[in-house]
Amino acid sequence: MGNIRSRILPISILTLILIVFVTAWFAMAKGNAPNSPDRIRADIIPIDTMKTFGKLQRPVVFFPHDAHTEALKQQQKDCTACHLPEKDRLSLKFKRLKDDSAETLMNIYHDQCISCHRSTTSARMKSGPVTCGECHTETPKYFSNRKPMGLDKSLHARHTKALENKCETCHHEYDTQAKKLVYIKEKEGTCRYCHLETTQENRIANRFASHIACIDCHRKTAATSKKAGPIQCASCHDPAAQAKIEKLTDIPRLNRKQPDTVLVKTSKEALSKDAKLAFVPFDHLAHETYSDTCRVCHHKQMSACNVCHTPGGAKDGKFVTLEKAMHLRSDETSCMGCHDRKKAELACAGCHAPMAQKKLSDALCVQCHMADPATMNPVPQSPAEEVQAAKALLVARKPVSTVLDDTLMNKIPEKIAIKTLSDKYQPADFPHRKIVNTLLKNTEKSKLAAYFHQNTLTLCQGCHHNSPASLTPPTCQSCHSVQQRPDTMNRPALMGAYHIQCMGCHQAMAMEHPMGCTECHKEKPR
Amino acid sequence: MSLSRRKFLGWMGAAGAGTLMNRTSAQGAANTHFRGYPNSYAVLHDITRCVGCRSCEAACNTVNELPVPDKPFTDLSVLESRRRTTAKTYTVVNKFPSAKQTESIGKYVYVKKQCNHCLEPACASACFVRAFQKTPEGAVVYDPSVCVGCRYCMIACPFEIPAYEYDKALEPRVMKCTMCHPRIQKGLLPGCVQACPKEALTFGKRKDILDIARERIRRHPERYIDHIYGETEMGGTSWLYLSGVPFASIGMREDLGITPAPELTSGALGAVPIVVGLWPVLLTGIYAISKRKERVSEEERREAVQAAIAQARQQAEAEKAAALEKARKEKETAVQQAVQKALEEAKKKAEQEGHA
Repeated sequence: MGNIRSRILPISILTLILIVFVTAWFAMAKGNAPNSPDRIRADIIPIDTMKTFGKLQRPVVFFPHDAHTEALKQQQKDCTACHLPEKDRLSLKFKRLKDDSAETLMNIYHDQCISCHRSTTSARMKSGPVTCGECHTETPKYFSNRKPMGLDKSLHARHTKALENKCETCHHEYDTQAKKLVYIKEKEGTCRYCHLETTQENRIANRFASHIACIDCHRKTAATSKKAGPIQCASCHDPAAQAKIEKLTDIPRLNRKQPDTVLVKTSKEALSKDAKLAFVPFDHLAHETYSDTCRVCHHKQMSACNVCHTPGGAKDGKFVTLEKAMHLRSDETSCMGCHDRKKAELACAGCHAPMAQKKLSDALCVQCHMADPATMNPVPQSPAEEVQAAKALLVARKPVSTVLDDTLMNKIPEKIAIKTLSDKYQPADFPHRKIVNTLLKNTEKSKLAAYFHQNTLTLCQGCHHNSPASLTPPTCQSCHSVQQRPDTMNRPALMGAYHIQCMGCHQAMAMEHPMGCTECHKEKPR
Repeated sequence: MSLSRRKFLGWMGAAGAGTLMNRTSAQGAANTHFRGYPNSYAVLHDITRCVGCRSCEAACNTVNELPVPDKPFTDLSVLESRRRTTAKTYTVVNKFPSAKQTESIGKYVYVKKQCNHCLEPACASACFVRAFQKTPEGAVVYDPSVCVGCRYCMIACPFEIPAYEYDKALEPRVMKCTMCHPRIQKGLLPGCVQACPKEALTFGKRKDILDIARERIRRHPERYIDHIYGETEMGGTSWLYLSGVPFASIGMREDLGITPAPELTSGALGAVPIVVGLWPVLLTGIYAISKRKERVSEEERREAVQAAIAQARQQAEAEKAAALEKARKEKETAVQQAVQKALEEAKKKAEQEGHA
């Protein structure tokens, strides 16, 4: 028996150690969970340059850039610890200017990374791995939530101000004869027009161009102890950080001598008098304020749509015809595609979400195609005249009033008691006039609604659909039978119609109305 | 019964050829795809319209006279856990987080689950007593009077619908939605369809229902996934679904394929008649052969016994004859000896008399 007692101590110690290990293991596993915040980063750079020389021998290393910037800062080192100067800027490459061969690349990374990690460790500071498998992991150690960055109008305006309107600091064109970059005023476009996704002959990829230019400028500005932009990856690429970027409320118009009004034609040469279908007067000035960037519409180059999108389609426009470029509803860069997206916004979705995509009818076409040479007097002959004509047409197009005057308002019922479910509940009080007022308020500021709602009562057609706009529209029962019937099966019966209309609208407009029965239908007293 | 080996093999061959011929005709028939009863009914469940109010569950409970549940149908907290159909609930509504996390669509998707009333039901094909039947109206109905309680139907169903009354000791039944077949026959709507306040359920002829579903997709391409679930799944069902989010994300299997279950199992089940038909022939043959062997050996045994008896009898005869002979000889000898003795005595007497 004494034998067993002498063993109790070592057994209990071993058990204790086991418990500690298991707990530690679980704790570590929890820390390694893919959704743990320190594993989701915006600064992850895959080190895979070597793949241009052949198949990689080891898994790609995912490099947390900001972690290194931070660590070097603590050691009083800056970017030059890793990046070599090239001309008057820093190379984006690590400890080299050129990619020679797979072997030299490998040696650069192995020698430089490991030696720095070793010396940092010996200086008793937090350091990185030194063995193969710690960097070359089969399963990625980090997950990237990097969001592409771009200048919107607000950020552009802030840069313009900071750079004192010196556009040439960033904007340039390539002069093929002089073989150098030159700045041409009023020829500016977005970087992406020339700097594409990948490096072309004499143009580096957009990714390299922006990092070389932006970060270099931010660094140099910071060195002069002025307020400078960020150089950390996450400051630009982290979705949360992006959302925090200061927005200007009053953005001055970007001036590139663009017209205020345009007569959208099938081609530059097309004459208004020969138009088969009336041309479209377009309010360019107003549309400039509707989106964050110019490149939303001018997606390939800063020119008129019909330069690439010809009526029959051309190679430059990827054979997308002018008609499709303007009307393709699935594409947000087309007129109708963008208008559809506006209609899906909360203020409009209540009425527009239940509506079927309408086929274009004659009445709808002329809402835009209004520059009919038959009714224009005089028919414009020159581009200048066309601009003037477009302006005149746009001014003449009166927005529909979004205010119902008192006489109209008094004609519409204030409340309606819906008694259809009176066998189970008390009649539902339908606040008709309140709803009308809400809809009027929602559309009050929308220029889109003001132009496209054809008359004051168009708004009523949101609910009183499929019948002409009228102050005395037909009742719901006129079309929606009380019971589901085989002959009216393609439309809901009355109860379904009420609930689909009311609840559908509340849902589409993300209103706080709960969906329970008794919110609208009061219980019958027993 | 006398059966020669040749005859037996002949029968086997004929039976084999018979089954082969049957098989070719069955495959020939399978070339025309069964599209369900032409005028059968169907229900369209438009998932984008469902708000999870459980009115359908309540109505189902009432019209089918099912037991009152623990929690009332107005209690929406039951939606928090995933449920399946049970012997006491023919239909359940489940709540799923929406894969389309846009404000205007809503955060949750509600899906009603009940028997899909397949055009070619797996439960019916698995049932060997034909307790399930696809009616021309479209409903798959169950006849408890013939059910033996094997619950093959529950295993066969790809949608996990049939449930069993495990708590009943006497005459437990398989329970599932009947598509309100009795109501349909009376010209009424199924209970759930009648009750749905948002008309997320539409009842009608299957072909009309498909047209309505297609029309909704056409009118609202942005709202719906371009697929009518149940149009072709498992060869088609009488309950059709439209959704705004991928069906796989709301617990609906997308791996079922378009082949009806009976067609998938027909190969294996087709072998049953062969096995059932040929087994008696084979067994009878084996029985006959073993019987014949028995008879032959019996005969041989009898012959041997007879031979043995005959031999024994012969031996006994011979022994008897020998014994008789011996006895006769002994007798003769005794007589001779007695005669001789008498003669000698007479001679002696005569001598004595002579002397005397």
